[in-house]
Amino acid sequence: MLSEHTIPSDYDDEGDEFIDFESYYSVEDTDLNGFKDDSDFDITSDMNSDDESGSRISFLISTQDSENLGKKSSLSGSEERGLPKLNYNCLTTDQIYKLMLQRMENLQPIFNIPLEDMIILLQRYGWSEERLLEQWTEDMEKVLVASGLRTAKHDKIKRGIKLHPNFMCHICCESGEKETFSLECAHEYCLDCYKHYIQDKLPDGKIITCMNCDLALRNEDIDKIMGDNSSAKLMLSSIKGFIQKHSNHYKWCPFVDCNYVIQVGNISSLSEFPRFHISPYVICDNKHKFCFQCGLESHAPGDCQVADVWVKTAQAESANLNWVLKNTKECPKCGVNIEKNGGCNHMTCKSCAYEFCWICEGCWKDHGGSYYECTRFKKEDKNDNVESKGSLRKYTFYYRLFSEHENSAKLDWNLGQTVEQKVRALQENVGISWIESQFLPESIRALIEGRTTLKWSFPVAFYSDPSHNLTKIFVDNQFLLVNAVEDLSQLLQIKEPKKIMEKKLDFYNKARFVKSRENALIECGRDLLCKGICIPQK
Amino acid sequence: MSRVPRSFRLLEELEKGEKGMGPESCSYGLADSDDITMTNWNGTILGPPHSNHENRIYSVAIECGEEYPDQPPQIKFVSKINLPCVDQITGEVKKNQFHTLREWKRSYTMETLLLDLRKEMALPTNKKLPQPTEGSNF
Amino acid sequence: MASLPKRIIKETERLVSDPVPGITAQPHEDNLRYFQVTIEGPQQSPYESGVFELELFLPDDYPMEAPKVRFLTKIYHPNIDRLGRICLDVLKTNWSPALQIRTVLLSIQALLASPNPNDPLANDVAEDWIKNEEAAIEKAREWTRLYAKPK
Repeated sequence: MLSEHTIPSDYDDEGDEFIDFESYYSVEDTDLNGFKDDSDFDITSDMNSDDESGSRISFLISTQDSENLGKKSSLSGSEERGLPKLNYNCLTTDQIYKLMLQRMENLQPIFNIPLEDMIILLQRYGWSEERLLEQWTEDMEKVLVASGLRTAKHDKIKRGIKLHPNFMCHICCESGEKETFSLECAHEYCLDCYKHYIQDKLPDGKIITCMNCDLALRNEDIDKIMGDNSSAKLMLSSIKGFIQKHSNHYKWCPFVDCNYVIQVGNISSLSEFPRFHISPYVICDNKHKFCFQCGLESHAPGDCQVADVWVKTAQAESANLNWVLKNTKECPKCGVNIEKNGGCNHMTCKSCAYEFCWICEGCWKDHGGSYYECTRFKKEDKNDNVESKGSLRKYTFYYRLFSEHENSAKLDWNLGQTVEQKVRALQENVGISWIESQFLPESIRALIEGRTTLKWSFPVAFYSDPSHNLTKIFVDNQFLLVNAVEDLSQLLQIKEPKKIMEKKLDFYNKARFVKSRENALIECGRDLLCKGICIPQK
Repeated sequence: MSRVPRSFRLLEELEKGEKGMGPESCSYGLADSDDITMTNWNGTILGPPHSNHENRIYSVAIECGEEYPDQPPQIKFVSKINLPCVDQITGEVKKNQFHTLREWKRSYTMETLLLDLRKEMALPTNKKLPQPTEGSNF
Repeated sequence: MASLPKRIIKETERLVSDPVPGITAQPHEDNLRYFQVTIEGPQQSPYESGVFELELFLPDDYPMEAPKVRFLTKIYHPNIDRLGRICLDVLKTNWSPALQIRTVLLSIQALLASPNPNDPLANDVAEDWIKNEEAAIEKAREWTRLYAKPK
């Protein structure tokens, strides 16, 4: 079964959390400026202040609810704005292979050779059907010889495995009773040598030929010799070749160890996206969200250009930046080495109990009034205003924030896996239904997506005009998302599975809140891009 | 397992170094790209973070003798460094005071050596040792 | 030392009993996979007056993996670099287990007879070769006199 998705925009399946941002800004604009320095609105990540954070959530959600009078109207609103849509399927490699075979079957009448040989032909031509057809009409015999489907000399020998009572193999030079293999070329070698040979060749993903000439082994020959389904390994690289050849229609999910492929039907609409500063995001069946245009993970609120310029700068500066990215830090107070093992940036030193922020290493409590002040780049001592050095320092600063959230996302994911395992164990022991514990993977997903959005919001902030009021609003929105994310991340620190179950509603609310803050930030970032306030350049 | 002769072993190491397949914290290459015997090599070690070596780049000179890799190479710091296993006059890494040289195995490479020296710099007993001015040489 | 595969024993025997003209290959006593090799410069090539020393090693996976070969004598040739490494298809992608030590050495000899500056390993040499072939051939002759053993 192929699942069909359509995404109207960045926040497709969160229709019920859709926010009308124009009114959002008119409402929130003043509020944000008002409460930025307002200690009444101080939300710490302290788990004890449930009431306070609860009231904050209800405050913000109520603002959204009031703007959110019926999701249907807001959805049709997005259509009115004419945002492009992408129609796509998520396929497994098996499904892709079937698709390839289907295409070959369609071509077969032209070639009139066995399907097995068609596979070899297309392998030889890198799955470019046009090029193959062109050459085929030009000189059929030449194509067959070049692809190893014909030999010049024709001994009347049948390909296959034989048993000889006394055989001397010219590869290993061993003799005795042996099973052998040969193609029509009559270059006959023992089966052990052939196995070894094929084993070595499989990872290359190229056509495997006779050990002594260019005649090609078919998939069925390979499987007979190996005694298993080894040709599938060879076909995997063919699948890769096919996807590469047709990369405008197909893309691998870029996430590690994910083998899904996204197939887009209406590729002509891809060119529509940049105009709106949104990216054609797709979600594979493992729920990995990535950009079909540039192949990166979801990089909202940045568009593809922001992501591209950012990544290229990072590559160019990698030597300088590597020192920024580290997993251990010393406690700013007592100097003990601390390793970050969860995503939360609220650190407590086990040795001296000092609480600090992982990012700026400042005292956690000082984050109070203007919480997460560390997301804002401070222009430091003016003596050091050599232009290039200053701009690199600014980049490094933002890059550090970017990578800290990337790391946090990874750590949160790991932590989430452990927590999920524990809850699953509890589920089996106590008998909680599967449905009832689904809030956990959903919350973890929301957390990681929130962190990813946060991460990519730093490039947007970096390329935006800092003096513009909208940039300030964007940064304020970043603060709010940081807060929401750290809040949710803290929940994962609960070690007791039972307690986690008790906090179910908390998880649910906080995840929902992250989602809405995330959407607000994304839309705000898009505004910066559309209005030309954020201009990515090297 | 067959024994890879010295020259082919050094060519393998050279290739790894040339293609930048090794870790980023150290690098090495032939001192004289014309030297068919591949005896003299230059290496660099990036000082480990959270230590007095942080952000420093140390140059070393490595000599792979006739008996390499059966015998360890000789290695000498060019950049001044204060470490217990480094002779403070010549910069030479003292074989009997550095475990990787002392307990040398044929499977060890120059990369092993450089990475282990970096670990040595990061040891709790070594990381806060006072260091000579950056950029000075033995 | 692990016992030597029959294939290597056979090839070694044949290299001694039925040597290739202009080529010698002798295994080291303490490492029977490691050969000392000499190749005479082919006639009508700038290398014709010299005998070149090479070393050859048969890796664990031989004959599934190609032998490793390197020139020990300095040589001016667009497909051989300053460390004696050789750029030759049969030593890399076109290796087949049906090939042998002797076929590889013959291919190297053939490479000396017909340098291929369009697929260079030593870029500077290849450039010379393309720019001024006559001067490059003269230099190859000079290096042969300087570094190779006379025939």
